[in-house]
Amino acid sequence: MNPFSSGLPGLMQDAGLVLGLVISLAIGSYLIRDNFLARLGQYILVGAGLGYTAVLVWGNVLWPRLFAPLLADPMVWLSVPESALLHRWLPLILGLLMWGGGAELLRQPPSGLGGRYILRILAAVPAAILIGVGLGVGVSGAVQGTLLPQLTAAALPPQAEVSTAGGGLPAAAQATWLVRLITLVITGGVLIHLQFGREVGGSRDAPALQPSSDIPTSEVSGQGRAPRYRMLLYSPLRVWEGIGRRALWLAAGILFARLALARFSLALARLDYFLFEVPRSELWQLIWAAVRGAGS
Amino acid sequence: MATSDCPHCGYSNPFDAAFCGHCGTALARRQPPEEPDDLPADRSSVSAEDKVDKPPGPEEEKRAVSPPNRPREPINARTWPQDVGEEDAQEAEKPQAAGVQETEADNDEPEPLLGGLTGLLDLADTQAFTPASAANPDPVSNRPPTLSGDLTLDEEERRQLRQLFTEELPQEAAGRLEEPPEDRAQTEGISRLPRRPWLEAVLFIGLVGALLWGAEPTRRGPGQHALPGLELAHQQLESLAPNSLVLVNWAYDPATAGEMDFVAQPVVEHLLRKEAKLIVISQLPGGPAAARRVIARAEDTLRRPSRAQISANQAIEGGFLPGGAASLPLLGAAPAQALPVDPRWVGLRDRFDIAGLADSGPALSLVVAAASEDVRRWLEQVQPYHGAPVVAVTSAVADPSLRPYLDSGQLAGLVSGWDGGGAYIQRSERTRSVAEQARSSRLRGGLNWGIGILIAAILLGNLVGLTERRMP
Repeated sequence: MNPFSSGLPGLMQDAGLVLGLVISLAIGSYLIRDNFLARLGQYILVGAGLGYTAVLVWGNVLWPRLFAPLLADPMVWLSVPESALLHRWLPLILGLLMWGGGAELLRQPPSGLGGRYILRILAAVPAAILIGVGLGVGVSGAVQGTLLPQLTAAALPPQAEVSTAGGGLPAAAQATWLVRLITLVITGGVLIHLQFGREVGGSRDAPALQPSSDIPTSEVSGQGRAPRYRMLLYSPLRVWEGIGRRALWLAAGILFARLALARFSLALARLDYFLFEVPRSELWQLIWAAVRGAGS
Repeated sequence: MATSDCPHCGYSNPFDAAFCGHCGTALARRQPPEEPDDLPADRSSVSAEDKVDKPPGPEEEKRAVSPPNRPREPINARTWPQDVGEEDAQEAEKPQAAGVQETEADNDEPEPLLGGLTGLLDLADTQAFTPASAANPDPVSNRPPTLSGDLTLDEEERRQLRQLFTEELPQEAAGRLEEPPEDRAQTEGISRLPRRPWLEAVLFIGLVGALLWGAEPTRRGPGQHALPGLELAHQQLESLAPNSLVLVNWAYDPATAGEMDFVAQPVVEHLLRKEAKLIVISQLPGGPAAARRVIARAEDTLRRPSRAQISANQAIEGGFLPGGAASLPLLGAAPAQALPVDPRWVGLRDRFDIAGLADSGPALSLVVAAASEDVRRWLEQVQPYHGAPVVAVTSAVADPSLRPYLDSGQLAGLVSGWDGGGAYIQRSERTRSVAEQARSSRLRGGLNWGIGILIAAILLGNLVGLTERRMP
């Protein structure tokens, strides 16, 4: 049986629509103030979500991939020795350790060394494996999937301009040298601002071109030569840093605007759901007819 | 009335407020301002007026550390680090009686689950609502309140404390001593700005009105510059041979379905029309359900009369794949092993299809994600292993973050936002039903008008704010 081909009957779908409307309104009443209905809706949401997740994990992972094979063949290492320990018993042991530690943490801490204390320590083993694997995978993935490909793509010359079926240019061909120059200027400016912004940008705490303590007093006081080379160095740096600072804020504004746009879409879809989808459902029309009949 | 300054904008809120009335920041549980050192420690000799105007002394704080009906710190609340440290230190010094009272207060009013800006900036995640003990394994800081001890407050003291915490605290006691004068003046100017419910009402009415009456169909779709990856995505899907295996990572759930369904459905329809074999996995608990709904809707659309007929069982549910990024490399290296297939759902023929992934890999990977992180993780963890082209279907907010991957060629196509979904339907030259057209034009027109109203509301709010700041 394919789950995609077994949709819910129409009445159940309508019930879902109406139930969604009720819970949405209950949680939405939180905008007015915190109240019982809002909390009830939140608890239903969280409880149903966690319960659904538990069922999903059991049905998709724990039973078909761990418990069912173990129950079918507990001595699996005799038949498939190289992978059984890693794929079956080790995850079970690590999972049990994690569950034991989690259950122990729900209780009051132990007063001294003992079995409960050892449970807590042993739970650190699967936690450490989880964190270590996650970090290792994340770092290696960032290098192989983002850093190297992006550097390679940036180092390559622009591709030849090839017209597409739609009449436009492929995205890589649009990356002209001017765009690359602007990218370089903005990236460098942002880096300068983030790293040396207080020194070259002229903040209130550290004004621009203030002589630092490592400059000889003779240069600062004018007895020696004026730090012209510092002027020549700092002036373009200050301009560059200013560009980077403004670009940083501009980018933050654009990102926030996109975020607001996305949330706006969600709000509109929810309103559309309230105003158009729910009233069209058969169950809602049935309820509405019953209410009108009772009223008349 | 006792007030609590917002750590973000400085606005003086009622002490029992859970959120800042000015900026919406979740207000952390903070101690009332401490009494200056020169005041007498014996509060019994203080007059009634002093009790109203001055914050409670250390003794009272020790006896009653939390005012009645004071909300607990909500989840994800923003707090100042130094306040947290001080609070922790004060928490450690609480006697057992305080623990009893706080326990009672907690039982009376549990913390709201959707606190802070949850739901606006970060969508609500039911997985985040885990017990505090699981998130904080430190047995010292996670020590539960002691349930023994005597309650030393009588009814008269309770009444006085209630009165004390419902009165306005003087501004000097509100903790602005560290601010320079110019900043204090600015903060006070901002804090005088009241909340404008009419502004929120205008925005809400504008949204509803835009949805009802702003549905003007656009004459022309977005240009090539606005959606550079759409044509590439269409070409990739168009080049698929029948029965090609397409690995679909469904990385959104009903929380973002309002936007994502509209983008995902035309792409799924295109895949079904090309008779591709979809193997759908998700790393979100709600992902498989969202995928079922959209795929069923796409199948229903294609099965209508005068439309292309699709063969049965073109979509295979790979199921829920837990483990986050750590489980993805196996999916790239050995997809047939990594797929968490429920054997009750997968027929023999589908198992052969899944096994075929191990031999040749998928012809295409489709990542349907509301956040750019999911696409990036796929590009980092899966694509380097099997090398199949990746087409991303994302929300509008994820688009800018994914453009570099499109430019570098790692993404073979990108369809994003309602505009992308609408343009993809136009590009597919599919005839839409009247209801689809009405909904599409309603949503897109409403979005455009709503954004205009939002901008106007922001400008108006700023104008009002500037005007009020100039008033004496």
